[in-house]
Amino acid sequence: MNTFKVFIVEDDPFYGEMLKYHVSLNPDYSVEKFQTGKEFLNNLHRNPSVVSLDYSLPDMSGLDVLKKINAYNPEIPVIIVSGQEDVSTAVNLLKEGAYDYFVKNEETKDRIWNSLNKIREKLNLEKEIDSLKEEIGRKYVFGNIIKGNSPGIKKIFSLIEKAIQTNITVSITGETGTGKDLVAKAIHYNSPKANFPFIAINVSAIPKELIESEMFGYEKGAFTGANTRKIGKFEEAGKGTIFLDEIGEMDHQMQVKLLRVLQEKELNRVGGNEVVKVQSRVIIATNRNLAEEVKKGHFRQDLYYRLLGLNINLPPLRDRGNDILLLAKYFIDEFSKENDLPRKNLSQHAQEKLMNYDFPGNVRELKAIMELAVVMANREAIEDNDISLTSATRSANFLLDEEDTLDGYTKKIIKHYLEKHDNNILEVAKKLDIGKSTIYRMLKNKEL
Amino acid sequence: MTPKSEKLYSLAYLSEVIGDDTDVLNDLMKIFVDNTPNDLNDLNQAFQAGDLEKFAALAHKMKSSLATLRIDTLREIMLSIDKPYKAIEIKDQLPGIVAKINATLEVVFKQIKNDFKL
Repeated sequence: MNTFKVFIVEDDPFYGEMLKYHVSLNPDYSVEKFQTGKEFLNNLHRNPSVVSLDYSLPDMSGLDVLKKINAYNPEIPVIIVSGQEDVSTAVNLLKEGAYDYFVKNEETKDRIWNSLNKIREKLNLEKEIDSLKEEIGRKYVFGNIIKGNSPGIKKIFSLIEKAIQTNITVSITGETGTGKDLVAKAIHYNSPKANFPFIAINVSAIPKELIESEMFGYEKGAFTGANTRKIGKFEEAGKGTIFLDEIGEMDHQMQVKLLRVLQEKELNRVGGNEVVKVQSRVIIATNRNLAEEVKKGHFRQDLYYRLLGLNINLPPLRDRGNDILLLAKYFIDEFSKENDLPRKNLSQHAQEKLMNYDFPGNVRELKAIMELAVVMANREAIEDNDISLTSATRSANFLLDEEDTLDGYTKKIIKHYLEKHDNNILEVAKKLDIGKSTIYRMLKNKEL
Repeated sequence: MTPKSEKLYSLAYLSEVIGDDTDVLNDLMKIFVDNTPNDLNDLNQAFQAGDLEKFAALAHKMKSSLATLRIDTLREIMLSIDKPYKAIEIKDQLPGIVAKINATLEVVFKQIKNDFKL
């Protein structure tokens, strides 16, 4: 822990020395005493953690010294310890930014002790929050969190880069388990809003009769049980980001209210008249096809266009080729590290089994599969029989899901192999034993 | 004249603040008897010069130390003169007040020097 530096400015040598000794009883404090305003200001550059300031100094008033401290660094807390018992003086000093004010009397020893402890606690909490924010920021450096080298995921990286540069509304679409929430966090924690809150709401998880009060808050007495005012998630997000997950599940009536809030950029808490400004950025996510939902009349068209903004459509894992293996190895390492297990490799057969599976649950499913595989594997390498798949393999699924012509099947097979081999045409041509020019031609004619 | 046996000061509060560290107590009492006479001298000079602003400022400065040592006979007196407007209100009584301060502190200084072998 850093030294907590207390500077005491007190013109009475006896009183100052007494205070210095009293405060020094806490071994975590380093205490220095100054008898004049000038002497103290000459040492202000040494950045005290807190200043105990006598209001009446021989060379300048406490108010002047306070103003100079604030001009230098308004974050330095100043406790005024004064012989003045004048309320207006105290009010004035507190208005000027003094952290605390008390009169020299027999309670001084306890009051200064408590005040310093509170300040130290607050500073420690602030430091803790800063370091947690830094840690979260590092955690969500998107290269660290969204793993992959496939062309599909590289495109996602480039869209995230664009999203973090502005406050544009972002809509994240993709099948369940593709990592929509991680993309939302990656955008927030890499954007200028990173120091403000990231508030997530899973729309489908909140009963429709509660969602309005959850999102916009409520006033005391707004309904039975509303015993106090409660701020909503939009207010809580402040200048940060509000992430509305599974927006496609939102009730029609709530869609109207959300649209109004997004258009007006202000809201009223339920049962209240006070207008609250909305300053947060909105990111939404859904695994539904919202355009289809609009066509079916399930989702309001005006809200759809308001929310669409920059669309990031996450590819399903089965379309990410070798990312499957890259992610599998990442999950093996992470799980082994968390559980103090020796690192395991993936056998060739296991790799093939994974590459031939269609992962309906996407990355989330792969993670669960690999964690179980690490537990099940008895040897250094994870074998194919250590891998339990929950649905049929892709080879059975992706061709036979729907009936097709021979030409259609051919295109599906080539497309599948291209995705699997990161669009490496030479390799695919070799594997399928066809001419590379056939693939080039089909790509040129946009048949694939 | 104060009877010789009556202590005009008390260490009760100071001991609460600093605990039972006698070295610190000695140091503090030395600081008090080294510095307060200078303040008292300045107070007398300001009074003689009719500079009630400086007079009140010095009274204000001294009152915290005197209260810490629980010099009760001066507590109300110091409070009555710690602002220029207060001193002006009782201007006629100031000669008596200043004499009382001098006399009391003279005894306090002697008692402390004697008690702490200073």
